Amino acid sequence: MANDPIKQFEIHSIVPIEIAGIDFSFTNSSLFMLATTGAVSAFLVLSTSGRGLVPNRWQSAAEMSYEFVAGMLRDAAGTQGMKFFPLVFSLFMFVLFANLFGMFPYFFTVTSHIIVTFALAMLVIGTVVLYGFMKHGLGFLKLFVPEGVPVVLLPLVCAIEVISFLSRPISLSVRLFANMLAGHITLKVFAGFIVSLSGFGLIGIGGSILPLIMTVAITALEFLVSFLQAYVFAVLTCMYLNDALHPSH
Amino acid sequence: MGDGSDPDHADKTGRQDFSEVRQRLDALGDKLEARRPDPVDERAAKAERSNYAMAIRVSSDFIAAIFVGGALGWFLDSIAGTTPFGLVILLLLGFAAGVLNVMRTLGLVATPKRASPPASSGDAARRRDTEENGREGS
Repeated sequence: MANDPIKQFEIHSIVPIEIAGIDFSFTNSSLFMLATTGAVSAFLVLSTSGRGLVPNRWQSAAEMSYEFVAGMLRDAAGTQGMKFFPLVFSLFMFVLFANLFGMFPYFFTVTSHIIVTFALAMLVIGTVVLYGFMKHGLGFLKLFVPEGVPVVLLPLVCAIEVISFLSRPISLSVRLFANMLAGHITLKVFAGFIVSLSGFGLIGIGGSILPLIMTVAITALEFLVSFLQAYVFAVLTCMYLNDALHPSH
Repeated sequence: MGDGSDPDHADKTGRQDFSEVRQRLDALGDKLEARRPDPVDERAAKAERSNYAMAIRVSSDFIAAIFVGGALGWFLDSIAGTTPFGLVILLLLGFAAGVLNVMRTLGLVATPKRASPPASSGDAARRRDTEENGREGS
């Protein structure tokens, strides 16, 4: 049924590929991930190809996104954090474009699947852990040992800190996924009300204006959420990278 | 303004022009003021939005920690065969970590981190971040 609000999240394979019994099919999700990366690359390459000293609109937009992420990273992790700029910028642009792509009717929202957002979050935390150990060695573990805690309580506090650290990729991924999923379902449900209400004759058509207004409003809200979620993801990435750079307590 | 070419009335017209310009500026200012969105209204909308954002952020922080604690306990139990003690203990620890997460997100706990002087920039960044939490939204 076309009215099913969950149907938009179904994954179906476009080009079935199977290697050694494992399904590697090229799905609609893969297609939209490719489209997202393609769109980001096209946007950045084409808009900056003019290299004008006085930027035109497109170049200005590209420069603004650069400045935005660079400022965010510099604020959170300092100048040393700038070596992670490619990672943070790619993540931000990918999430932003994937979210915005999802706003097109009939498009698939890549970030509405938790495995995608979880993979992104694990990429961040993996970078934090790897870089932390590479740079500080075992000193990175000081992240889990707060200062000024009585020795008796230390094991307990350490365990809590470790769990708190491990919960980061979960909350990072769940937040993005849940926002996109919930937003798209709400949108679909309200849009569905219009159709089913207008089936009740003249009064129904009059009444269906209310969900129509709601749908328009939620669409605007969803655009906001798309941007905010990309921003939050990038900001938290910067904060976690800051922990990798300065784990000292 | 266009009649400033008359040399005899240069001074007078100049003053006249000035008052005329002033009038027009005032009128323009009024028009702009009328079009500008009410700051109080906007602030209220922003606060509402960030409240919603904060609610989601805080709850996800809290739930994630409990979830991780429980999963870790269950996993350790299945390895060491200590069912159900690992689950019970780590679930409680996860609860504590969740509360810690929430309080950190809200900036209620002075984060013990960054107490050492070399990381002062990180301290500032963290403090700024807690301040920004409101507008960060999620």
